[in-house]
Amino acid sequence: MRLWVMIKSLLSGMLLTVFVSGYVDAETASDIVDRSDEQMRGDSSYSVATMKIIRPDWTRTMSMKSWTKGQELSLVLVTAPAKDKGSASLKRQKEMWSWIPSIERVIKIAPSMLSQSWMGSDFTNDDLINQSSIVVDYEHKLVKEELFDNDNTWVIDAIAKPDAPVVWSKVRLWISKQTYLQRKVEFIDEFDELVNTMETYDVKELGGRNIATRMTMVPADKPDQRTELITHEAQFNFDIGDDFFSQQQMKALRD
Amino acid sequence: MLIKLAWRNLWRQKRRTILTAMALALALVLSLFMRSMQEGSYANNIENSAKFSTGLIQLQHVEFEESQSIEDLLPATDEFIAPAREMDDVERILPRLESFALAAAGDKSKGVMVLGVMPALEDEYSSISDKVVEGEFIKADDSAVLIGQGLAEYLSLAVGDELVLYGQGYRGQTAAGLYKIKGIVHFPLPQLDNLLIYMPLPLSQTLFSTGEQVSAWVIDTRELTRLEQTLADLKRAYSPQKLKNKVNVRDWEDLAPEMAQQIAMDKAGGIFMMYLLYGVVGFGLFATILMMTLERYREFGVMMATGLVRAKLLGLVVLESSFISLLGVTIGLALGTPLVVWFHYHPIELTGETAEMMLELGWEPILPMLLSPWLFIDQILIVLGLMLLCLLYPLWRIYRLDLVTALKGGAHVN
Repeated sequence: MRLWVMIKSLLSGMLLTVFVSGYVDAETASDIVDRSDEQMRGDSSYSVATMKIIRPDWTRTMSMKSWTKGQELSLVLVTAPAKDKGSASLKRQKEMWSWIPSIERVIKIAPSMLSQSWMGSDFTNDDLINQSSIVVDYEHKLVKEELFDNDNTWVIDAIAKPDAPVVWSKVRLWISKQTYLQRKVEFIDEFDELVNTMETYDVKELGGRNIATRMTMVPADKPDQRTELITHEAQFNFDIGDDFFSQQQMKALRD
Repeated sequence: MLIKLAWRNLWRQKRRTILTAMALALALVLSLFMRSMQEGSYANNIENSAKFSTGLIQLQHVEFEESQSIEDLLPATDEFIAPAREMDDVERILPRLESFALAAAGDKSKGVMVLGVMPALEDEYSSISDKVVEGEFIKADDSAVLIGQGLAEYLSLAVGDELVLYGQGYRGQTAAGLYKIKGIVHFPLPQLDNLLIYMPLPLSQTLFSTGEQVSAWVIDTRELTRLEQTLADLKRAYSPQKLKNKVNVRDWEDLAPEMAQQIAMDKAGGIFMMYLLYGVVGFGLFATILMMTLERYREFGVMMATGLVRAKLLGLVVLESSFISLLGVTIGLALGTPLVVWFHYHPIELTGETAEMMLELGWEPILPMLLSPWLFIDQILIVLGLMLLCLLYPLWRIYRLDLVTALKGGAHVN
């Protein structure tokens, strides 16, 4: 009799554990997105990248360096070509500025300017400077699972929270189950139309992490043009002060 | 023989003939004068306004007309412009780069039109250096700019201050630059005064990252009357088959249609007045010819009865009218030609406020008169046409002349 009670409790305990652990182990869509952002960015990051703007008739190349800390601070510096060298973009919390050395002026980037192209590329100001808002300003929902570039991915819809200062009303993310990297992203505007599609390739280890080193952004209405961002170097989780992300530093950086 | 007869018939009524001829002559002189003045002022207006804005002909990228974009440019190489330079009606060619940018100084900013030009060439064409009110005119290798007076006042800028220009350049590149003001220019047209920045062409090409390109080649021709021919030649030289850049050859009418339409309207008004004038005089001519026919009905009857062929009679009347018209035209031309020629070489000068306004615009305050063969030919043709019109009824009457009735009476026939 006591044995039977013991077995029952053991069984129910096991079952309960299985259920509970299953419940605890299953990640919510928001968790996935958060983890993906962490994977791509870390607590702090530094990367050196080249951007190639590809059009039917011509191609232009720019080089840049970018620093991020947490989800609130980021700084992007253009190092080539000579004409644009020294231009920088800074984000602190919800404010963004651009420094243009040739006119010695800091231009405050209003939220309305976020959807404008960054330096003539297919990436918007929002994509480059305001990256982390995908975690903070959106609600997430898991839709399905799909294969992308031989990688199993979760397909998650991120729907903008009302009153969030964001460019896209909906973003669909393909996040790799294995590496938690964003493999494909579709950006949709407030008229429910697909505007841009970003895809990432060449997952490599840089600076101790797996990151997708090649990202392409293709506008939906002009499929014969695209912009590629290729990361050459990266470092993660090093110490960097908050005061690095300041307007003085933005103006002082040259290289 | 008919000719002698016709001529003698004219002088049977000396005063009537002379009066009719004089009426014709007067109409001719007045019309000639008015048309010459009209056409002269159009030519003047076209050339003057072309100088300051569009030029007489422009070569542009095909898409530039619609897009006005910095992307649609033409090469600025000598090789490209060589065919235009070789044409002998082409007097000068000016390369220009125009685009929009934001101008900022202190805490004020304004959208402006930036014109990259070759300063020496532009000055030769439109004497723009005369309009510099402060500072100096720019040179081709300067890194300073000229600003319109209205704009300078709005941005509180003086000579030597710095101006920020910020905008979109070629192929999406950012156009950003800091420039010193070398001079302030006053344009009489407020649209230009509040909007324009003049920059040396190489400097503007650096600002917009265009490289060796321009938005338009502005062409000035020697003679306005040959414009159409030159336009056709240019269109042929820059036809799409020959080049990979598609070039749009546009004349001033296309570039500034408001001016072309204004001129057309004014010309139509003038021509209407002229026809009115000839209409009135025409009745006088008609009266004379009709009288000459009807009063000689009996005479015609006798002539035909004694053997004159009807056709020859008709011919006689035609000759008589021709002589009157010829007389009128000759007197008219004799009086009118010296008048027009005199005023062509010594135009009427305008004074007072009108003159001042014209001088401000950079125009000479005169009323120019056009001297051109087709003005005269036009008038002669109109008189001829008038004469033929007036002959219709009298000739028909003679054609239907009944011999017997004519011999019997005369005045009350038919």
